[in-house]
Amino acid sequence: MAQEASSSTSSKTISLKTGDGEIFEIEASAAKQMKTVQRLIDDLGDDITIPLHNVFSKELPKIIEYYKKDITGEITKDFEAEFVKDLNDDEVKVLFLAANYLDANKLFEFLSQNIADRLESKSVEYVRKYFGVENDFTPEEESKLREERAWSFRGIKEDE
Amino acid sequence: MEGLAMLKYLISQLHQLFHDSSSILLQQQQPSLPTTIFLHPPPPTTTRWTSFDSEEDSSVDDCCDLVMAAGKSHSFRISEPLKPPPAKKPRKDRSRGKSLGRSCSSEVMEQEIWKDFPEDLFEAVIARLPIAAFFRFRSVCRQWDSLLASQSFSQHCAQVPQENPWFYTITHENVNSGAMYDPSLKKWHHPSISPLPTKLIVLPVASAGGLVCFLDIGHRNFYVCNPLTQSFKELPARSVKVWSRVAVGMTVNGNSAGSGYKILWVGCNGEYEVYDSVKNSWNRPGNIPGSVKLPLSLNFRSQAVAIDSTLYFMRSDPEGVVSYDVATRVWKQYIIPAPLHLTDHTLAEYDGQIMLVGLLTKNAATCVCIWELQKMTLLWKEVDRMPNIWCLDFYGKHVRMTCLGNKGLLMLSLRSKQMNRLVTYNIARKEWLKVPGCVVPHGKKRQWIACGTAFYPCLTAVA
Repeated sequence: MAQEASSSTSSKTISLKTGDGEIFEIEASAAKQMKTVQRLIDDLGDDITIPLHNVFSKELPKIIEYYKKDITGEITKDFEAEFVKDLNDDEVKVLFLAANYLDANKLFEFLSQNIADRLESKSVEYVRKYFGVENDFTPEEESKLREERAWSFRGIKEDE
Repeated sequence: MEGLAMLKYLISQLHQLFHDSSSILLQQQQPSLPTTIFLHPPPPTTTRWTSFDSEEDSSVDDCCDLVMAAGKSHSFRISEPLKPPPAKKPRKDRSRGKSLGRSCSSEVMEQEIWKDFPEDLFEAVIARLPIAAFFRFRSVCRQWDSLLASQSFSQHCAQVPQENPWFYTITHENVNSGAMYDPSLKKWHHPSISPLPTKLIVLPVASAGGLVCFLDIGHRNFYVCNPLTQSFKELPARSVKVWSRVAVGMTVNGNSAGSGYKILWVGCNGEYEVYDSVKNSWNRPGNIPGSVKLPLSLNFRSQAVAIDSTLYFMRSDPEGVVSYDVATRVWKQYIIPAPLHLTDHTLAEYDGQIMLVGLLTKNAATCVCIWELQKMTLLWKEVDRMPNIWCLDFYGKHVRMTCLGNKGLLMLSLRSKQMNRLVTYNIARKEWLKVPGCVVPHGKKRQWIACGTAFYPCLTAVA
């Protein structure tokens, strides 16, 4: 059971337990930014380890890192760029879903924009796979739509 | 492309957490999703944009002198009425049998849950895509194709800060349909059908909230449309008997076209009317007060500028600006001497600051200048000029300039006998950029921009 030591004894920290059983500490002020966590704290009290069944040990530290910066007002464009720099599209998606579950609005909006930026140059098929969406157009319908919207495809070289 | 094993999350109600057994996450059947409820009939959003052939035409200087290529008839496909968007279909549960596997990334999840991506989450992402990408990805599936009619999607779009405006232009070569310039991609887009009645020649005169207002060449009828979705409305007839030239301004109520918009026309004799989209009617709120000198020598080449609920028009004799506040219904006049040797001037605006753009010609040298209005002194103060090296191209030549767009980002069309330059100017950054020539698909000849207006692309603005 991994446990990060609280940085200071004076600021209140909350213990969060991930779906895979690891425990992480977060400052109460950062926990406030995640409405789901805050609601759980309101219901369960802040002395109990808050269970987050749908967030895992891979994502939570990253999310905690984001909100640590947020409460000190240090989130800049550079920080955000650095934050996602080494993440692949799927890792960003996992973080995005976690941010949604945690109702962490600022992170959610930032990641929505980042995903939109990543998908902008991708193919229609990639986007389908990414969101787990099935193509319910017939081939004829699809080619007709493409033809009608040819202007939006013009000059675009779609990444796989 | 190989599907990647990935973690899917249950978005579950909070109280379920108390009932889950601790470490095993149960795979749950996706509950059937609520049908989207449409609060008003979806607007026609069928968009058909394909290439069209340019035609040779003799170029004319001023868009108001456009001799009607009315004789030319192009065949256009007429927008189909929209089929009602399908109700949201429940997503099939996607269990791939790879529930316990290694993801491509280095760490291994203890459990992996397959779950359908929660549907409203993708709307948050799609609303942040650039416009062209959005139209491409409408081909992803039927639901994405009908997002334009979705209330929740509109709300997401409203939360996304507006970027640069696009420019809707009419070219000399094809007066029946517009060419649109997207400054963030530096690309021209060419719709194959006009969002407007094809038999009429209409000119864009104003824009607000993602909608463009058009007036037909005879100054009779107004039309409003969203150039992206072709949502279109012909405004009711005005109550004038004589179709004289008018200046037009447009504002939105609130922050977006969602709360409605107002259009004002004013003529030189002081006649004016205001259209309210909420009531769908024209109204004459009164008379221009005596403090505003009549006749109004309106500068018809200058677009009106809107700052909050006030519209500003350029006039001469005396030189200056007249304003009308659509909320308080008050007219005001400001006497502002024009800079010397100024031609082809128009009003612009940035961040609540009124600007002036025009050509300064002195001793055969012509330059594009930008002025800011000093509110305390009511004088124009020069704040920027086009780079000298570009101005040299116009030395000794007779140049005409048209300013398209008047808010934040301007497009300037500079024309002399042999030359046709397009330039954008970003007021905030004081940045001058060349615009690639407007060439139709499969064409080679650069089109001449007759007139146009800027508009902030808004997928969900409805006329």
